[in-house]
Amino acid sequence: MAERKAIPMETRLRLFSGASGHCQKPDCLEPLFPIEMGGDKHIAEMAHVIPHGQAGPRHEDRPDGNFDPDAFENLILLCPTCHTKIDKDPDSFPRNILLDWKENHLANLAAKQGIRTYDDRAEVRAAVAGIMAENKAIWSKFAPEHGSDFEYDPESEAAKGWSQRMRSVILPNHYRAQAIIKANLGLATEGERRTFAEYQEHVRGLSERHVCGVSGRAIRFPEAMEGLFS
Amino acid sequence: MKRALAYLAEQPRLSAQHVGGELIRIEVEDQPEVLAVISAANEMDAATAASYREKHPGMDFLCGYRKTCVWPGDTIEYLQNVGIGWGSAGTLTSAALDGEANTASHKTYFFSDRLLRQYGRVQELTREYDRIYRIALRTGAVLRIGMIADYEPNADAVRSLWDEFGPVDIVWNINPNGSPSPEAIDAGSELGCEVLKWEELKERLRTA
Ligand SMILES: [Zn+2]
Ligand SMILES: [Zn+2]
Repeated sequence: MAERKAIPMETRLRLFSGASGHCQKPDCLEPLFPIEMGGDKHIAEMAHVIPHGQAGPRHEDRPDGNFDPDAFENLILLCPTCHTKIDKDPDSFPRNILLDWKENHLANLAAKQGIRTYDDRAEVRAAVAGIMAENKAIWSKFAPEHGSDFEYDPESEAAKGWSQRMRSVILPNHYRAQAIIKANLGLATEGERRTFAEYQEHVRGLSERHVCGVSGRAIRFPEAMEGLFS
Repeated sequence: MKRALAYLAEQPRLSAQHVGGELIRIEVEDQPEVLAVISAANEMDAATAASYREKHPGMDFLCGYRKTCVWPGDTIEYLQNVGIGWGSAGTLTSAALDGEANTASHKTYFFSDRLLRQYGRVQELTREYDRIYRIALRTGAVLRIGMIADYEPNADAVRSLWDEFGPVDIVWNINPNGSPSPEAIDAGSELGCEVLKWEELKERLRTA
């Protein structure tokens, strides 16, 4: 569906990170940077809960007063299939249902990914370690300046591999690790909470860089993450 | 020297010994042995390069092991003419492993140098420094291009390049994985140059 003007980058970024890279329809939750597509293309669609026009789906749900259809609060991130479904059958998908999906998205996603709270630190560590190991393996091969496959070749194929893997594997892994850690912060020390906050900032910068194309804002991966929950 | 030898010692399949002065010998299985001069120069001028060669007539490779080492164009031309490879410690390592020490050139700039030389619209190319080029296009336009290899160059990287090497029309960020920060692009336009990646540079050369 046609958007009136470009949605601001900040809003897109907030939507994407809020969705952790997955369609926000709870019985779908498909990855929005599918691995089958190499991770360099996303299929995410920003769907309007309330449309711009007087005729679009759910226009009768429009609240009174000043209303900005392009505000973060009125957008939901969906895969194309789900976007089509909700716009074709607005009676089955009224405003409150869509807002409810968005509200509960992270919990829905966590449930699907088997993220839960653990009884002891070793279990949390085990759950996070495998995810981090995969990211590290990709990093050591493709890292921007020191990866084993890295060359200062402006036409490098390995560089394309890097950004594809960043979006289809590394970022989703980070989102997942964050969800696990968040669910188990009760077991973390004060210092680990600080490390985790730094880690979240690192991931936020990565998303900004690799999803919205804004570079230079990412902080380094905090080394203390290696020892989290150990 | 110690640091350079320590770095080489970490590399698999390769062993290095100190011969004397700034000269080392590198041995790699199934490859010719390499005599390399390890220099701490911050700027490798042509006279220095020539005196190394006089002192060590058998040298295959001149290594500026400092990360900050800058290579003027006439030094590069001299070394290439006499069949001596040149570049960083990383360049030396991979050149020794590939048996190409005499012809190797600085890893960081190798691909972008080749891209510029092979680009059809470039008629004449002068390499002023390892990272600074003056090119004349077939259309008659002349551009001075500076390369930055950082992953995500910031404003300071752009200003430093300008301060050290003088005005350029284009700053080319040659790291394929990264891209310049918005601040770097702003700093460029304040100075009067564009900060570009290869795709944009190609387009710029096409229309200049
Ligand atoms: Zn829409
Ligand atoms: Zn969906």
